[in-house]
Amino acid sequence: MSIDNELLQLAREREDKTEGALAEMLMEQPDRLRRQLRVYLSRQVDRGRMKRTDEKIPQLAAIQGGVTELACPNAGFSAGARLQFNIQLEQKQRGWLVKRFRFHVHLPPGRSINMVLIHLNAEVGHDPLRIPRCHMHIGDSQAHVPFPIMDPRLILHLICELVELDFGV
Amino acid sequence: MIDFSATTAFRLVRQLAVAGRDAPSIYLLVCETAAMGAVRTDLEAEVQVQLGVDLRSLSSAEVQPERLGDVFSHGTAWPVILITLDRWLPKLADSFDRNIVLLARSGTVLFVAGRDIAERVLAAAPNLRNRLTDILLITPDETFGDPPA
Repeated sequence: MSIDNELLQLAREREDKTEGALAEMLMEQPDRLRRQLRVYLSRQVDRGRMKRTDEKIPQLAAIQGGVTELACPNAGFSAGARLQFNIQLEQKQRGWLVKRFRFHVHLPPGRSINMVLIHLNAEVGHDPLRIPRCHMHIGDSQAHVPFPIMDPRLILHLICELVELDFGV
Repeated sequence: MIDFSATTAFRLVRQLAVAGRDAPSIYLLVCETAAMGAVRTDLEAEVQVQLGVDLRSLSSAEVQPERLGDVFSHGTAWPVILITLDRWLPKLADSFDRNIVLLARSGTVLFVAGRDIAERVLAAAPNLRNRLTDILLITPDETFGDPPA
């Protein structure tokens, strides 16, 4: 097998693992997840890390195809960074699964990195070597850096405790 | 007619979380009758998510005035009891009033009632009224936002 084919094979295997991890990651009901994320954000406010958030954030919305979306259109960190995220959940026979998410952190001026984006695409792409389903963008880079599958609550925690504090400082 | 400060289950339970389990409290939560089910659901979910305990929810019919000890005896680290006063039961209001010390030692006690019954309870149970942490107008959570464009 050529090295090119072997790399493609390895990338496909990584995507298979991603799919397996997603299929195993049963989530809370969307309303409960909404409440958990809301209280997490409000505790960041209590600690002085974030500016006061709207009590209605994140908002739930039923969208096409039996998918429910949790959206936080804008939350501000006290140090100037801004966070947006949306998480799409799909109800399957076994429970709720994550279908797609987008976490966007816009870091404050003065940082060497202006933003960090963490995406889970809705479907596996045709070129897993170039675009892994779950990936991260750093700054304005178009590079899709593979990102491990994890519970969106954990991603929010990583953003609040690591990315926002440390990236580009 | 009395005006009460407005709250939601989210805000109320945040207050409870900040005060902590060592601060017993009794709240009278006034709400529209039609919204009572939604408010109860919100309270149950918020108590579980924010305090990590199960809310014990009872209707007034499930509380026997002569056996309040059964309701307010608790085996959990942070008992949170919700009693929905969905009908006017003078004997029950009187029993709450006479057993106010028991209520005040029972962790967090939440009474939910429509405005009419809330005002009757306040008039008929002066000891309870005096020991209330607060009287709040509670509305259900606005769960769903606008659909995304």
